This record gives sequence, structure tokens and C-alpha cells, in this order.
Amino acid sequence: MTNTFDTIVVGAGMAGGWAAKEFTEQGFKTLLLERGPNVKHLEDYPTTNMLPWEFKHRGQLTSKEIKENPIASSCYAFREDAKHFFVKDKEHPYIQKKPFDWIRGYQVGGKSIMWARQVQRWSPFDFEGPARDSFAVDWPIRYNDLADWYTYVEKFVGVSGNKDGLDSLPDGDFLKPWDSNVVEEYFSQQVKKYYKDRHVIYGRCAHLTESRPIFVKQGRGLCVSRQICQRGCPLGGYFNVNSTLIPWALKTGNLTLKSNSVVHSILYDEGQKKAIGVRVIDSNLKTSQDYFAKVVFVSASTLNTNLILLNSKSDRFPDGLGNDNGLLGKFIAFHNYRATINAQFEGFPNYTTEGAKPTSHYVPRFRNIYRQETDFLRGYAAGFGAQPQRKTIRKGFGAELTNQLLNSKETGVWNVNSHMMGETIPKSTNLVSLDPEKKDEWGIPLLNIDVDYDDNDEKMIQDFYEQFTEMYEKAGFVNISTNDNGRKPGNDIHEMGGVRMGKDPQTSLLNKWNQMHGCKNVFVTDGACMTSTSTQNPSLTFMAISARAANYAIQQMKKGLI
Amino acid sequence: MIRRRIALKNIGLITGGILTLPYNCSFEPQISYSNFPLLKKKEQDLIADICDIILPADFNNFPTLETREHFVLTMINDCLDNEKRIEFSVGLNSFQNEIFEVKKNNFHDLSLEEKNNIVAKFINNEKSEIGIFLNYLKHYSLIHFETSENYMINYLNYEFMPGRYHGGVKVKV
Repeated sequence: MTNTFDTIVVGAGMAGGWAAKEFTEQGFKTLLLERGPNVKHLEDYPTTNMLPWEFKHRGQLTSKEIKENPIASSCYAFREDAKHFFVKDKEHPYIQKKPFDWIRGYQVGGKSIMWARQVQRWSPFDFEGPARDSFAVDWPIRYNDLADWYTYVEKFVGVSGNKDGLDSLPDGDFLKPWDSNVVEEYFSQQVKKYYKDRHVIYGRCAHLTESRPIFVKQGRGLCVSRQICQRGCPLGGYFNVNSTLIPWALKTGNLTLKSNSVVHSILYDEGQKKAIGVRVIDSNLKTSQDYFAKVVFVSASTLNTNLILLNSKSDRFPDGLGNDNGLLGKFIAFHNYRATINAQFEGFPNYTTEGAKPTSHYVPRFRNIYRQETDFLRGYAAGFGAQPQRKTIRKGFGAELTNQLLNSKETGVWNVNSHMMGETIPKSTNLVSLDPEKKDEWGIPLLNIDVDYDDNDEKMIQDFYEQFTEMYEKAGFVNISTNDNGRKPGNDIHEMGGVRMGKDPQTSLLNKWNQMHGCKNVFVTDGACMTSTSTQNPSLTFMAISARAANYAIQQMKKGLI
Repeated sequence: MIRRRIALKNIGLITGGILTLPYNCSFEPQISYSNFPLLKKKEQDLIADICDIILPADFNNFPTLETREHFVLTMINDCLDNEKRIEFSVGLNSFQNEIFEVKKNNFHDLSLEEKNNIVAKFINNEKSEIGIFLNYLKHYSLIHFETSENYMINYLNYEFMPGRYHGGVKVKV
């Protein structure tokens, strides 16, 4: 196998997958490196067609698995049916300076196999936020720079949604939505009635609800709402990298996909004043091999991208590639998912639902949108779910118990719930760094993670409780209870930053094209590049940014500029 | 204390894998459970009997891939942590002692009424050793029943591929 390519992409997740697709479609010989094993669509979803009663532990983890994986098992999707797609704690240690759940999926497809598939666009307010509210640094791009790329990605991925016409959550290119239920519709109407600035809308999700020629070409079928997406979908009903981007790129004949390849560092050539390739360690054999290319895209997932760059040391960059300003690894942020609220609603006793859908409703951010109005910065979005309550009595034993089970029924009451998705403020004190002594089994320094909540997050939680309690009360919901679930930073699986974009090389690592200020042929396009976090799920934005950056790099390569 | 010691021995904590057969090797075919290497066939049968009293396994109407006792013991073996496995073993021993001391008989040989009476005596006392033991059996028996194919499909409306969602279905009265 040759070791020289036009482009090298590090990481076969969503961001890397998009870069690989763009490069290979336009004729560039591309090496896509993935530290984990390959996961081939259809072939490598071992549990995808298993029925609930076929699982040995009916979905539960064993006590040994929980004990050995306190981090991984804190993730809602690390269960018997999908645990094989998650990194086990012992296999890839890191150092928690403060509690941080680093949830990872090391395989081709990355976490796109098990993701929650919510794809809300970011809004102009999100890209203007740091400048307006004086935190982090100003984004070098605005919503309009990304709008067409959102559309570009949505058309390929397939996004089910409604056009809601909201400033705070721009519409996209949508496939038809699934039905809303009576309580979701009711709550939406009630919120509209009592609040001019608040909305309860359908949660836009990356599922195929309509067929289009592009999806047929990808070999994907419609979502049948099995609700077990985390196992991998044999129909390709939801978007993951394995069913779309990888086969698409492979068909061009321009992609070399190399799994089990741990990127140790990016190679910098002092004479040429640019990166010339990457050093890779075979994850099984532990042997080292260098690969070369004109352009390197680093999309190894937020914290691993930070790690690789920090570990890419040279005489020119002794503190990590492009790290002239000492900010590499700093300003890590995430989403605050600690606050939840539950209640009951008795208003639709004669209604129920039939079938299932892969999404619920969504409350876009309404705090501090047009002006600062609270004692905390930024705001939060929230989910909203409503399900008919089923009551099964399990008292006693014998025939009494059996009869109760056989008379399990819906009560006519609906359970309703919301969870907060809060924007956190990037700070220099929330950071990652290389441990000076400890290394992993591939000889790469372990990552120190030093990230925590702050007072802004605590105030936001209290505001969520107050505002949602009020909204629930106005809607007539009863038995309202709020809860702090204690989720640690990282458990949201939306960690971002460390290699942020910005206008000024003194205060940022990347320019508006995701190009390193200090090394123009290296691009960072995953969550590491994010200057701030918004409240919306970030994957769609990662993909749009990655596609945009790849096309810029293509233009630059064609012009011979990089 | 003696019961706890027996239980510890039973779950093989100190065997180091050496004593993997019961003291009185009967050589009856039995399934072995890694955390309970000394669990005898007669104890497995006892657990099957108790489970059947707690939640009768209606195999004709609610067939499952595995027997009730095998599922329950698998879950107890795999999903309970060490401390809870000890609780289970202590309760199992206490239950056996109770039967022997009070009834001078094996549980299996008791009448249905006697079996029901013994379970009724302890199952609601969730803090007693036997109550804890019985409630572990109940907990996993319920999971086994409620995840059976017939129950999920016909009583919980489970569908593997719904392919639709209707959000405002009028309930038939």
C-alpha cells in the first residue's frame, strides 16, 4: 500500500466522514484513518435484529460490566444491545482532574452509530453570542456562512422536521415529520397562548420519512421506528456514517480506509513550514508507520483531536502543533444536562398513541435571545416528551400477581417530561493537557481532563426549574417534580472546544475555514473547533463545518496554495 | 454468622476455583453458575419451585427461550453485585433452614397450601433475610415474564417494526 495521498483525514466519525466524502468525490486520493476496528454497514451490527426476549440479560448490564466501566455505563445507551460500540474504561484510560465522563466510540462510524440523531441548526444568535455577551472570542463565521452547508448536509443525511419559522432555530431542508401526539400538540398550543417568545416544536431528527433519489442511491430505506438505532439500522433508516458516507466515498475508488490505526502525531516539516503527514501506530501490532499528504484534516473527536495536536511537537511547535498562543486544549465547553422535570397530565383520558416514533418535541432556547434579561449568560433548550401512562400492579404472588400482570393497562393519565440542554461558557480554566508521565499502551501520553460546571450553570438550572414549572402549571400539568440528575460534565457527549476558531491568531487556533493559523495545511473540523457551544445538539453543525472546510481545502489545493 | 459463612462458601468467594463441585458430588446433570460454583442441583430445583409459587410459569401460553429458574439464576449470577449475591445466598440458606426446622421436610414435598403459606409469611417482610431472597426471585421472575414474547406483544402492544406513529388514537371504551 502506498503511504502517500492527496489528503489524510484523521477519524472516521461524522466530521471525518464528511471530509472524506468531499475529497474523494472530487478525485482526491484520501486516506481515512480510524483508531478502532471497521464496522461495515449490515455486516457488523450483531444485535440489530434481536428481539427483546432474545437478550440473555434482557438489556441489562452485568454487575461486572458496571463495576469495570463506571464511565461508559453512565451513558444511557451503554446497555446489553449496544455496549460493543462503546470504549471500555480500562482499555483507554484518561485522568480526571475533576469528574468528567468521556463517552467514546472507537470504530469506523464513531459515535454516529449510537447517537441520539437530533439535528437542530444553530442560529445567528449562537454565532453572534460570544461577541455580544463578551465571552470566549468572536466566531469568525456567522450563520449565513454556514446556511447553505447545513442544507447541503441535510439533503444528503435526511432530516425529518417541520418548518417552524423561528429566528432562534432556522428551518432546513426537511422530510415530513412523524405525527405529534395530542399532549405534545396541546402543550405547544398552551405555550403559544401564554408566551410570545416560547415554542414547543417537533424535534428535528436524522431519519428518513420519505424516499428521495439520493437516499435510493445510498441504498437506504425508510425508518420504521424500531427505536433501537444504537444497534445500527439494517435499513439505513437513520443517518450514520457507516451506511452513507463511507460506502459513498469507497465507491469513488479514491478512498483508502485504514482501521485500527492510532494517530500518534502530525508530522511537521520545518523546511517546508507545513505538515507533511501523520505518524500512525497499528493498534494491534503496535508498529509505527508514517503516511504523507498535502493536507491533513483532524476530526478525531473533540478531545482526541486536542490530544493529537498537543502531542504533535516539533522544534517549531514545542507545545503542540499550531500552539503559538498557548491556548491549545483550553476553553473546553459542553452542554449542561443536569436538570429535568416530570409531571402528569389528566386532560386526554380517552386518547392514546399507536406505533412509535424516533423523536420527541423540542423547546428552543428562549432566554436572553434578543437581549440579556437574566442574571446568567446565554440559555437552554429542552426536550418535551409525553407518553400515555401504563400501570402494572405487582403486589403479592401467585395467581394474584399473575392476574395483575394480565390486567396491565393504560390509566388515561399522560406522563410528561423535559430535560434541560444548557449552553456552558468556554473558559480557559476548563482544559485538557497531556500528562507528563503516564502513557497509554501505544506510547501516547494520557489526557488530563480538567473541566467543571460553574455558577452560570447553577443559575441556569434554577431558572429552568422555575420557568418549566410555570409552563407546566399553566398547561395544567400536575404532580410536578424537578430533579438534578447529577450528570457529570462530558455525560452529555457534546464536549467542544480546545482548538477554537477565531479571527485573531493571538486568541484562537483556527481561522474561518478551520485552517490552523500556524499551519495552513492542517484543518480541524470536529467539535474541537467550536468557539462556543450554543444549546443545540452539535453534530449537524460539525458536519456542515467539515463539508465547508473540505471544499475550501479542495479549492486551495486546486490553486496550488496548500 | 454461621449462615453467612455457609453462604460465602456457597458462592465460592474463597474457593479460588478449586472447589467447583459440591461436597456431595451427585453427578446429576446441572447448569453451573460461575459465581455460585457450589450451588447444587437440588438448590436449583428449590429455586425453580419457589419461583413457580411466586409467579407460576405458564409455558404453554407464555413460552420463553429459557426456563424461569435458569433466567433468574443467570440474572442473579451476572447482574447482582457481590454484596447482593451474598444477601441472596444468606437468604437461600435461611429459607432452607426454615423449611427444615419448621416443616421437617423439603419444600418440594410440601403441599401447595404449605408452600403458599411459607412464601406469604416472608415475601412482604422485605428486610428479613428470607424476604430479601424471595424478592430477588420475584424481581427476576417478573422480568422474565414481562419480557416474554406473548406478554410483550399481546399485553404491552410491543412491535418490532411499528413503521407508523399515530398520536391521537381514541381509546375504545
